[in-house]
Amino acid sequence: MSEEQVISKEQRKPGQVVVVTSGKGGVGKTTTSAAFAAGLALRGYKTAVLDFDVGLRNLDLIMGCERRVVYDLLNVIHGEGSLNQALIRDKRVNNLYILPASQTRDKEALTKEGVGKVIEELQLTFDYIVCDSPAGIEKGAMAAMYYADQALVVTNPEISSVRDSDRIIGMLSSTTRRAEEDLTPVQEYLVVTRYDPGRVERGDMLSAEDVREILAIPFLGVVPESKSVLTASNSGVPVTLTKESDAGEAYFDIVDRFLGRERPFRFMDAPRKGFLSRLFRG
Amino acid sequence: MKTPPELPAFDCKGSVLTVMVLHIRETDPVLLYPQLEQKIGQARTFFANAPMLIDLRSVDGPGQAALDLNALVVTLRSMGVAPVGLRGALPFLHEEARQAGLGILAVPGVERTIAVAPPEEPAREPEPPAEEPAPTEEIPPAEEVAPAEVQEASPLLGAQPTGTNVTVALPVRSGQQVIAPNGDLVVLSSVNAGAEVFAAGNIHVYGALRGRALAGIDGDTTARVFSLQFNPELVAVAGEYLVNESLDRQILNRSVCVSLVNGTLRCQALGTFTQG
Repeated sequence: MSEEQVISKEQRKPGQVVVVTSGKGGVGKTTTSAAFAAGLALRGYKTAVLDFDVGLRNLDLIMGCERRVVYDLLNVIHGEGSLNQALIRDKRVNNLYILPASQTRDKEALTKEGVGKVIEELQLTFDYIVCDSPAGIEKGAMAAMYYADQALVVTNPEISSVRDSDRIIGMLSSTTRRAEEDLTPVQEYLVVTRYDPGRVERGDMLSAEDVREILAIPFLGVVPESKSVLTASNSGVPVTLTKESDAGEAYFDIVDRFLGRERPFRFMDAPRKGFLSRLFRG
Repeated sequence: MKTPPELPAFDCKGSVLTVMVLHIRETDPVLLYPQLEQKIGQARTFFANAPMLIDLRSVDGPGQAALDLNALVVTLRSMGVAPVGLRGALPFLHEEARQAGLGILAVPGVERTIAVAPPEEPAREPEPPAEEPAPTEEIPPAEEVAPAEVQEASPLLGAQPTGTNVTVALPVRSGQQVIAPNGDLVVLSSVNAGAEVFAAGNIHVYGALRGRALAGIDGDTTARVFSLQFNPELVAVAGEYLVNESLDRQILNRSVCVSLVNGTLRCQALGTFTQG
């Protein structure tokens, strides 16, 4: 472990910037950002998670650090506090830091240059910088995606969410730094959240297969609709840090696939009902 | 290297270019300007800096006398179009044209060949409906999000300086527009819901067509739309259009060819062609 760290310090690559985005609101971007960042940190990568939802900040609540916020992203951009002052270290996981958004300003304050500086500084010391994008395609979302190297496109299995994601994928390939500087394009990954295989079987929901086919980007997996997500959010714990949570396990699979490891796909099929329960439930 | 007595400062060569032609049919400003605004104003990205020839062949003497050429040129320029010349104008307009900075062109014997359509007006007739139904409400939403559009569409547009076909290898995604202004458009992937594809000629989609596809945008009635999985929001040939709701449920999600037959669109499932 210590040897690895020495090596990594000597010939460090700049950290990877991962944007978590969707277009549509309420699909689980912030939940995904928190769970994904905590998962990366638990896998040994030094990870910072940034909230870009200026004016509607939530990430600090989900990460359970809302009472420790002193400086935020905009303070850092405007030079009112240093990055180290603003980064909140997670108490549960080593290697995990949170940079909250400002609740009191508006999104216009997020300048491309300012964000660029912050991200550049973070890249020197972090392995992964996870940017939690606000919904929509306005300034906050553009700022969150602009410096991305990779993107998690979070989609619910319903058509409006799929269409918004489609739009966002188009923007990732045209209005990011990588696109403007003609570098290798942003690598997009699909994450389907709030998945309910039972409803898919009944035809109430798009199947993961349908979503994959429409969006045509690499698929990291589904996260089942789960009570544990709400419980975890309300208690300020990323769902990957809760015990015995199906959603947490799904996020770990997603983190591992993101890191290039093979994992069998789970949570895609409805549990088979026993004969008796079928008889009595109809 | 060469040391001739006089270094040639330039070469003057002939070149055949493709230029958009604005066929004026009605010079009444009440009709003309709102329609221009509707058509060109909504597709600014497509028309940006496009050289355009103004053709007055279809306008009679009194009509041409009623035309304020300078106002027309100013309007076009304000829309980002670059009017370069005037054709088919009666001599009394020539001075005005010179003042407006337009070249004066002779009427050619045969016009540039748009497919097999005869160059007479009938072929063009379906064009006005093209402006009205399809783009009216549909393009504005795409326009609002123009910054993405321009960048998304322009590299694809850049593929056709030779004035022919455009091939797109990536999926055309919601909010994106791809235009093949002079020829066929071939999409090797899907056209997703909320995306728009236009072509002067045919549109081939080797994937699912879930967005809007408008073929024959210059009025070519022989243009067709082909798709492996047909479920478009809207499909049009030379201005005749169908929205998804008016499509036959039987052909949805099948491989379909759309053509214009006697002024109405016909959608045929491929592989089940019948005689005639």
